[in-house]
Amino acid sequence: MSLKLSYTPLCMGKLQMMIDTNRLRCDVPVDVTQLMATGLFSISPQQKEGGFMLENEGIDHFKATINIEVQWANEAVIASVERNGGFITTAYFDPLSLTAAIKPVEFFGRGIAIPRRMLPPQHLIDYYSDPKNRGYLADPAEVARERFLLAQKYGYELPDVNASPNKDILLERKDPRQIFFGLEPGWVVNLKDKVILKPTDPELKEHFAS
Amino acid sequence: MIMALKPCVRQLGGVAQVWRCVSRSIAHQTYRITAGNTCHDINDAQKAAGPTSARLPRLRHTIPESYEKVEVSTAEWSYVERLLPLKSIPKPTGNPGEVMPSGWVVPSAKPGDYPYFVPRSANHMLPVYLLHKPILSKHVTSVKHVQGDIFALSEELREHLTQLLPSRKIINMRVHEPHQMIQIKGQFVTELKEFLLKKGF
Repeated sequence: MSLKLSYTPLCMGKLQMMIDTNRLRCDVPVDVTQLMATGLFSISPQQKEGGFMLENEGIDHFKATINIEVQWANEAVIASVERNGGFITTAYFDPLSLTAAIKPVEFFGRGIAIPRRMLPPQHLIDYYSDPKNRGYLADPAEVARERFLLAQKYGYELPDVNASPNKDILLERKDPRQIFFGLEPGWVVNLKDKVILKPTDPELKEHFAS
Repeated sequence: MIMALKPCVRQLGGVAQVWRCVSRSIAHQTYRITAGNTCHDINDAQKAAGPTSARLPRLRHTIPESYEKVEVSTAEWSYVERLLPLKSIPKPTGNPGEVMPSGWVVPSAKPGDYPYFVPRSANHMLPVYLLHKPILSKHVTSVKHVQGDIFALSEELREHLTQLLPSRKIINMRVHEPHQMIQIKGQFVTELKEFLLKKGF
């Protein structure tokens, strides 16, 4: 039995086109949920699909400034995103968390608490802890250093994020145990009454905490 | 592992009655709790199973009431609204004729400009498709959704392709008016898209 996951390829050219035609909203950080909300992709976690991986095609024409979170990215892709002032993170989603992330409305309809996202398996933990891959488990200080080094390697000036109008969106990050931005594990979202139910029991809170 | 059949005694209103425990596998053990009696079957059966098996603690079937107490909040509802997908494909914004970084062009032509009109597809892309069965070397380029005088467009396309490919003697074209499409034998997707973009479609 193979544990290797397969990833849906997403070319940089397609990503740029989705942004140009307003198909992908850029006023929020882009992650698996936002990419699936375009309706242009299908992911089945039961078939051992891990999420999205960014491909090199169309890398030269990539001009958007985005905060993107995918499951796999190579060096050239990372450089193209950072050159335009954006941020890229690679994050692992275990099958249950991925099922929740790709179809949030269906998941909230089940009425269960948002689960804690699990850590990557042994063969992937090195990838996601490496600052060169902008892994979500890597030390942010090391990631910042790698950003600077990559800019030197590819020969571009790293834009200052503090000067950007989208500073808040670009600097938003998820906790390693979080599936959705702003929503913590343990919460139950009631779409009908438009409220969020949060547990108050200290045992439950400890269970769901990071 | 099947538990051994063992008679157990239940006191029922002062009269001792002997019931036979039905043998069950460990996975499907069920507790039969009758009012006023405690069933000692399981623990006795475990003792009988042998010195190696440990006495399992009694399961808690009650969830603490404090688990049910929740805090209702709407402070983070904006984060939930972010996750809801749109109900329809969003409209692209941009000046007519503007070329975007990805190469996508905003349409500028209106239905009255030419004798024909080729609208964009639902995804705002040009309706030029390549029909190709992977095994056969048979390629057909098709332009769909053509409105108005489709024959005028087909003549213009034929002229355009003859100019581009002077060595080609025959350009096989099929104009299907009821289906609003023009089919051309060969791979001309890039050429036809450039032609339509120049017109402003």
